[in-house]
Amino acid sequence: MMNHSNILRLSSTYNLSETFFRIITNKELITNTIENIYSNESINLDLIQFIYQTDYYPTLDKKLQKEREKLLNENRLERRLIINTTISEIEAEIKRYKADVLVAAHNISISNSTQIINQVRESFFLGQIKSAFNILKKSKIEKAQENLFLLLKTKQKLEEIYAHLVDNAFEFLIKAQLTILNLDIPSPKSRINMAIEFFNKGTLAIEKSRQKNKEAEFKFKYGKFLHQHNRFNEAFPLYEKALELRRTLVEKDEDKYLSELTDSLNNLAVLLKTQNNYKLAKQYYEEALGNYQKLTKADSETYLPDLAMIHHNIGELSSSENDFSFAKSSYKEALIIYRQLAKKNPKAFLSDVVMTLNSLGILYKKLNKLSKAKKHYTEALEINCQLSIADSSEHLIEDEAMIKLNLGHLFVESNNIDKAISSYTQALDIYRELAKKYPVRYLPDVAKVLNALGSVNSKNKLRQAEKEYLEALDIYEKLAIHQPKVYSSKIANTLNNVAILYLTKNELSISEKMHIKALDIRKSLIKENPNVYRPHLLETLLNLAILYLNKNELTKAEAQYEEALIIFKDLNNSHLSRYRFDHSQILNNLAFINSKRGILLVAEKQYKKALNLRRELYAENPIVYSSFLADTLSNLAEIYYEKCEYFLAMNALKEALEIYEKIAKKASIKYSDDVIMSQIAIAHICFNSNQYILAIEKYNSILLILNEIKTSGNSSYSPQIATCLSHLGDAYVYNEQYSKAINQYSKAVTILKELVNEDSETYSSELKLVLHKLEHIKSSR
Amino acid sequence: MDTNIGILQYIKSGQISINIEISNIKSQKEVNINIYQFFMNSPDFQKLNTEIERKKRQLEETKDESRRLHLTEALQNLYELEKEFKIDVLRLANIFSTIAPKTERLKKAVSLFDQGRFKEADAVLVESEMSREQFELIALADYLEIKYKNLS
Repeated sequence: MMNHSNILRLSSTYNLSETFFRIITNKELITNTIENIYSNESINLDLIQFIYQTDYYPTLDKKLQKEREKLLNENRLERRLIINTTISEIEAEIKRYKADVLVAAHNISISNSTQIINQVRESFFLGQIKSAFNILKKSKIEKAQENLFLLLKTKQKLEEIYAHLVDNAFEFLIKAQLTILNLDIPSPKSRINMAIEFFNKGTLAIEKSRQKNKEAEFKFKYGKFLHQHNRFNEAFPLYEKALELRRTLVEKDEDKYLSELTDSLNNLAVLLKTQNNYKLAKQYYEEALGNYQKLTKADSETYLPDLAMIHHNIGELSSSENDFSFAKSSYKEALIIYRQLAKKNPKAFLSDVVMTLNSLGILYKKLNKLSKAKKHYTEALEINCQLSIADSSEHLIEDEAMIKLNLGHLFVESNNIDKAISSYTQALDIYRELAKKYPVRYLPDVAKVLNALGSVNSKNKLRQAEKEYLEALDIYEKLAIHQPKVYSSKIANTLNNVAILYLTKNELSISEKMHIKALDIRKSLIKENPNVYRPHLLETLLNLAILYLNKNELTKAEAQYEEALIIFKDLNNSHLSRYRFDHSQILNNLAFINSKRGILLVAEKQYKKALNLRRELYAENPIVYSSFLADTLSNLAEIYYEKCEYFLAMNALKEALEIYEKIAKKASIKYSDDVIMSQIAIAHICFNSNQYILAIEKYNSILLILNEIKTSGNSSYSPQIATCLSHLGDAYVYNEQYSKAINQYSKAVTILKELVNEDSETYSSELKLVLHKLEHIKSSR
Repeated sequence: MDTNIGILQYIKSGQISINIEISNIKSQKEVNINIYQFFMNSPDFQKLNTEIERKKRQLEETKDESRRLHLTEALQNLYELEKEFKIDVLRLANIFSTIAPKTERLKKAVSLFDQGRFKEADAVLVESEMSREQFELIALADYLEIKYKNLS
């Protein structure tokens, strides 16, 4: 039966009624109609009309009419019987004709539209049966058949050739893979390059074969080969092409190709993550996750491990992107599945449970949830220990060292230095043991732990830290002889650590030397991968600038900061946000340099920029950034003070003091250095802005605190006490309280004399000045 | 155990998981016994193994510290090569397990590979023959594509 739209199309094309085509395209209706014709019952009027219009019908009808007329004029019985027989025969012929016309109409209307059929239809539905018959002459059909046969034969041959091309392509693919195993070709690089040549030859054949599924398979395998041999940039377009082809295949047959599409998505995501393209990698992982969920529903035994793996991979990626809550939920999903799998097959999946627990531990540490991190590391260690009882494989020993190293990091974070050193030392012992057998593999881990230990010891065991850093540096330098690309960044990191250590030890020239070495390496690394190494270069520039500030080499310090500012312009948005603190530090320190040079307007501008950045950071994390915000406020206040803008200076200082007091309170410190210095500065501002009564009040109040500290045995504030006393004396003079002034000056002189005994160069001029003021006031009275 | 049996049938039947075995090799875990036997019977792997044993002996016999350091490094490189070699073999075995070789040449290569005779398998796939055939196939495909287009 034909659909309604086709009936309409036929009806309008051949100018016959819809009813006509509805009947003749329906086999059942046509059969009934033919039965009706033979049983002399009525048939549809549209069909009758069409039959009457056909070119053969008038001849038959005429023949019948002629016999009927003969019958009317014939009286002889014998003759009438003969005529009647003839009439019956003609009537039967007409019935056959009608039936034949309807069968032909049915066949013609339901036949596929070829050029010949269309021509036949045009004649037939005009009633020109004879002409339609001529079109269908044997020779024409035969020719069409011959053509069709040739076409089919050509297509068949082509398909055979395509199949041979696929075979040829896969022969080259195998040849490529076998080339890698041919150790008679001594250099691995040559083996890979030769294999690539074979893959490329295979590509020619597979592309010509037009077999999309095979092309996808070939290109995926080629991409995977390149990926496995670290040729990431070359692997990428092949994976992408395989993905594109598999997407088209999935549209046609999801059941067959979904698993392959998901493999492509997963491998592409892994590759993109290696290239730090986290955004696109996440997109592919999430699509792969959706597919694995679908596949797992159909076949959980096969796909459940893949589902767990993809959750874990998404967790890692999200953690790298600092999307910690998503990372946590992904790791947890992975852990649930791995635990479930490990119940059935502990040998295969318990190590995955360990790996995921370790990842969760790292994540909780990042989230500063240290007890949770410890809980996960501890469980990971326990399971690893159980596994080690039955299996003495080196990977379990290695995992133990890795978890202990992570535990060490955790103890550092929770300020439990002894436990950190103990964990690090245990990890170091394991790695040293493993490195005896596999030095290339495990020496980098030895160096990593040494760096971690150096970092912990650099707080108070400087000599020990120096030893550890230098051993790490020595290891990396040796490893870099064979793999400079891999280890030069590690050398730079370690040089950076040692340089900071020497800065702490105040060994400035060796620190500078180390910093410059690190700087040179990082400048060359930035050419290879600017996104990764720009922040590292920034770190060295900032460290070097601080070193020059310590050496009071302001121009050199400024040059480092200026270079750092250029790097900031090239940082991408995510880095910019991450390095806002460093940016604020550069601006703050540049302002400091300019203030030292007396370029106050520039300094003010830079402090204000730094202040804006630090206000943002403070709003996000007040605990970490409060002291830095207060420092910049205090520095800015100094500029205002220098510019005699006392109102602005006072406001900035009051805000800074408020923050310093909060910090001191939180740390349970009664009088912090920052609070004291801010209070002194406020008193100075009162004095300089001629608010003598207020200044007297402030100085007296701070002197009470300073004297209390001095009485407790801490004489470090003596210079400040002397200055405050001197200023207090001045304030009394301005307030015409001369005897009180003399009293304060005298106290100041006593302290300054003590200080001159210790350091005459610094304090003698101040002592002279106070003595002069004292003499002057005494003589004027 | 029949040591003449290759590894492809174990992979095809699901008795060996290549991913797990590769992961075992990477993490220096023990591998499946059939994989172990397969490598032990491979003349190409034997050659590599002999070189490792030779270096090990040299290391044991050498007292000189700098020579020892050099030999340790060379030995380490050989261990790495051995590991990479095993992984590459298993990756190829995985590919063989997923394709049905149709050409005689490929069937022969697969058979030799399954006996651990990798270099011989490689030699069976003669590049010049394969390139010539490819050239002819592509030319024929071009001709037939034009013919098909004209006919339809």
